[in-house]
Amino acid sequence: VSTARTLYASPHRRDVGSGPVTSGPVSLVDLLDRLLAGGVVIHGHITLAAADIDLVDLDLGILLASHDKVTSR
Amino acid sequence: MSVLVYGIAERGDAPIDGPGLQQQPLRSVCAGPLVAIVSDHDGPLGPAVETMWDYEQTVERIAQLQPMVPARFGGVLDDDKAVLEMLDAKREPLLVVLDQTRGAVELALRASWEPAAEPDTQTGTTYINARLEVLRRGREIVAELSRLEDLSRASRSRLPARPGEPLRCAYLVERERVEDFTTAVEQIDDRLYGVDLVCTGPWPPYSFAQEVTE
Repeated sequence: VSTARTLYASPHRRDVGSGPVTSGPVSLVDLLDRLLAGGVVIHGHITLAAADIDLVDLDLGILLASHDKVTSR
Repeated sequence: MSVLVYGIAERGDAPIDGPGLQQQPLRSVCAGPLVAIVSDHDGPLGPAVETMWDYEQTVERIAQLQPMVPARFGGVLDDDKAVLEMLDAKREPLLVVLDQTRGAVELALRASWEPAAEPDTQTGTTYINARLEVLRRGREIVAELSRLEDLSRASRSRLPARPGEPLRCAYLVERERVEDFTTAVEQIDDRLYGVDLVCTGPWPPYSFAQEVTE
């Protein structure tokens, strides 16, 4: 899966970390921002399997709370 | 069994098929001028981040076949009847958003800066002042970014709620203007002292579809 979506990053920002300008984490924050907070709302619940938990039935409020943690890193 | 919705398109001639998440085949549910692109699932969707990128790629692939308004990730309905009801209930706003976003993509821009050093003692007043300072600086930067609004059909911005959070903006940009937009971001970055800009995209127009609710 291609996760490179960076079109531009401040030169200073490019020096942070060892990854190239198109590295995934930068795009991941924007992906989460869009997929979880944008888009047409179909239904309040989603079902996901997490790595070490068989089934996590999250409502969007919980998911957005975890999203905040990601963006504040 | 549940029906996962990827997005809603105007009904077109091109068949929309191929694999969706978990290699489940994509299919269309039609109601009047609209079509929902869906796939059927029995169980949970798999590890989250991987699944989200899969979802994103599927949405992008569909959008190449037919202009589409993306659905928020993971929206599931019980059956086709529920999908039809959803299409009927949201028909007018969906048609409006399809019209507004046709031929355009979303670009994301984040602006971050070092917050002022925290005072030794955190009182109610210093807390409020720090929040106000972040809002003030955020508004200043929004003004600096105004040229980007001229290059886009629509824009949204979210001011940081706390010191250290970025200002987050979304722009709806015509496909052929993406390069102009990126160049403008670079020019703005050159003259904005102490602010880092990161621009990502192109994304489907998620941030311009979220107003479509029940």
